[in-house]
Amino acid sequence: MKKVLILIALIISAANTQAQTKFFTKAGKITFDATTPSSPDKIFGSNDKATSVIDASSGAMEFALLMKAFSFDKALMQEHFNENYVESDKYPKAVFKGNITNMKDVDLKKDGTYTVKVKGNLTMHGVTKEVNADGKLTVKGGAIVNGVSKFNVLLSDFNVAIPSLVKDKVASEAKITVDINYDPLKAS
Amino acid sequence: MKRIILTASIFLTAAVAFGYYLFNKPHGSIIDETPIFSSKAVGLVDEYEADENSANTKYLGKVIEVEGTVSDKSMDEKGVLNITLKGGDLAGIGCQFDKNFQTDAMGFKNGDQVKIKGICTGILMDVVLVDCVISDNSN
Repeated sequence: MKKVLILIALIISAANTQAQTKFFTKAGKITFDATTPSSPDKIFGSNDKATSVIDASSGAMEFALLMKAFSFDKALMQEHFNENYVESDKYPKAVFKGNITNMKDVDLKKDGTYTVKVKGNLTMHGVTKEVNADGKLTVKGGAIVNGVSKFNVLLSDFNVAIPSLVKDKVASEAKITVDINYDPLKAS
Repeated sequence: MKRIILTASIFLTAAVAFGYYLFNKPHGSIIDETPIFSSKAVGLVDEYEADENSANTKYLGKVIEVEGTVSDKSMDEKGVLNITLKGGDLAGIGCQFDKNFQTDAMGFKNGDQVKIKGICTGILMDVVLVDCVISDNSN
């Protein structure tokens, strides 16, 4: 009886590690930085509630975030970000859908950090633009556990207008960082 | 004449000080705010799944109160508490706590019936509330 149980347990655990190709999170971290040397303050917001899914078998990945979940140190900056710049009442989400183009270089059987290239479409403020970024995927124990990336977005590409009065105080190109810890997606 | 200048300069100083205060006002807490709406977690998720746009029109950016069952609890690397309330089959309500007011909520366990208020930011997989605090039962 015991042997049978152990066998069943082994089969189940083997099946689990075999079938696991999708990884996701509901707590991804994405930051936004539009500080310039002449900004009176750091124009920096962070969002810790981004969702993301990677399908390791195809390399497809996406992430999404809610604009209002960006948090700034200063209340007024957060208000301006939402009301004047990204108009989050009208456009509450930002979504990226794309592919890891060199997924074949990532070996899930070998722990390590892999450099990846990501290509896809970013939709924000009602505009969709192609974005290319370099990133790093960390593999541990047969699973993707972390993904990081840094890229810049030109705010004018997304119709985010910077009033001429503060033109030199808000960067025209925002630095975006993505830092996501992944969990295996349970097929329940 | 002197008095006018004096009065004007007092007003000007006050205005500048007020502007400076506004500019530097830190990201505040919602602890004293009255929620515009109170709901069961399940009801809010249903409403969002039925019509996201109309739900956003009503709740986006507003302080709302939800009552539901804790289905998940986690702490992120910055030490911020996240609690998920049970909603429908897939979606729930993800509540990201205000770090300054999360101590009491750290004792919540899965299955507990709790009341939380926070700022509604919309729906991804879950409806997401940020700057959450435990809601006072007297509300």
